[in-house]
Amino acid sequence: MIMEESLLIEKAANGDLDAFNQLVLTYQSLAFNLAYRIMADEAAAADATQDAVISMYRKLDSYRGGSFKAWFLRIVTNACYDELRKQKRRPTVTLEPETEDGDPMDSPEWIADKSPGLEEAMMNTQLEKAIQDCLNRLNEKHRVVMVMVDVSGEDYETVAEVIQSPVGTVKSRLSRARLKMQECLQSARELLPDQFRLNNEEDDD
Amino acid sequence: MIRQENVTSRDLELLNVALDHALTPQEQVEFNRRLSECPYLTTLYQEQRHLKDTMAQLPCRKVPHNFTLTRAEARKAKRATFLQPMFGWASAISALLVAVIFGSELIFRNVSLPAPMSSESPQVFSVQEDTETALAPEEAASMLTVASEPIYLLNWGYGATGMGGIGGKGGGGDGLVDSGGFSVNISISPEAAYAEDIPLDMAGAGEMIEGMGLEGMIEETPMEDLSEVYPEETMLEEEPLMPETVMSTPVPVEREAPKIYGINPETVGTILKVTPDSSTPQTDQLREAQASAAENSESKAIVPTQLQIGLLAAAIIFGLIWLILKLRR
Repeated sequence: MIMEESLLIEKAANGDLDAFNQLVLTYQSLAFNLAYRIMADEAAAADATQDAVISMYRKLDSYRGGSFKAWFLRIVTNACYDELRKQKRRPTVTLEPETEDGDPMDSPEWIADKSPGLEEAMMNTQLEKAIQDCLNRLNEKHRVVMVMVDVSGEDYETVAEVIQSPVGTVKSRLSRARLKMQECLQSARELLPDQFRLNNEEDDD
Repeated sequence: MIRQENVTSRDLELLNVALDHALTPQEQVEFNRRLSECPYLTTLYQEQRHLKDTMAQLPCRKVPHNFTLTRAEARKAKRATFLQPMFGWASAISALLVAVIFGSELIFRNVSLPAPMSSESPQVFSVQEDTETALAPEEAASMLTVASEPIYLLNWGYGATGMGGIGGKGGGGDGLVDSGGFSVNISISPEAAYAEDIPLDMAGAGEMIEGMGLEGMIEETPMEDLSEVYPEETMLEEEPLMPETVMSTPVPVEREAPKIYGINPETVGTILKVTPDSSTPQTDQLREAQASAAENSESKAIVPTQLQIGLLAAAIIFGLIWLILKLRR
């Protein structure tokens, strides 16, 4: 697999577009999901991923070995930061449907969900939404580390390579991010299903 | 009630590593001991474990489309990669050239500038002192007697950059070459001057006139009175009383006595004309000198002005293109 990857990288660096596209296909899902968790918006995540792919094509000559995945994910996170900066400069209005009171309508995605039960699907959707909301409240740097470790399942070394910081920095950011996430989810525990109510109920008694 | 303050930063560090299953055996022992000691840490660990598991189970989003590049997109991406640094380098090189040219021009001009003329005191110039360009006595006499233009006796000014500053030679005439400064020319009109026969060499006559005129004391200089002003011994042996450029020793010659001009006491001190340099009458020779000086200054420019402006414009335009390309990426 690694041999095949280094061969593809070499070919891509020599201008072989097919080899390059094969690398893209290998990592595009990982890249898009990372971007989606950072951006919390599918269209923006798609833009960031596409920018990252183009950027990778341009910079392929400068790749000097090491973990290709970490190198590509670094480009993706940088593209996300750029996209977030653009969004801050040009705030957008959501196109999601709203109720008559002006509140955003619940996403109808669960209706199309192929999961076994309607209730479970709704619960998953609520949970995912709550988690994503809390992720969005995190500092960008904390968010990237938490998404990469807890959502994408990357190890500390890979994350350290992506954010170009020591492993100790990864650990400390992760620790703070987890605590903040927990606090955030506790504040919204009424919205969560019973099994996801994290706070110890006895503490309040 | 569980006390939160029992949890230390070391506990939190171990907790996070434990969540990622990265504890060493020693750390695992330490962490287990802490869990048994601190119920709050145990609760926190359970909650964090739950959160981590939940996040790991978040559904994986399906990519909306493949992010592969077409041949056209790849070409466009490469072209943009090539263009941006190209314009960046072009802008930098143009700016560097402009800086070098302007710098060298500045240094060159500073080096070639003559020493500025003193403006503190007026400078006295003789009418004609240079023996090489001195007129023959007959010619000088005839010119003086038929002179219709004012005779310049005194000239001073500042900001002069021409020949007038060179040792005072050439007097007011050379001072006229100056440009851009201010000068005062004091002259006597032919009507104010009158001639007197005196056996002097005409090459020195003019200087005598000037020296006397400035002092404003002598209206005519008969031959017999000269011995009082310039005793014979002084005239022959001692150093001149005034600088050589102003006063030279008159030497009697055995020729037809030329005429010398004196000053009419009624008109002494009258300033006939105070002119800025630009309005000073110029001779053809002076105009030619001015023209050649201008040509010289033009030819001294290392790079033509048009090229300098072009380079500056190129630096700005290339820089702007580079900036636009960078922002679009």
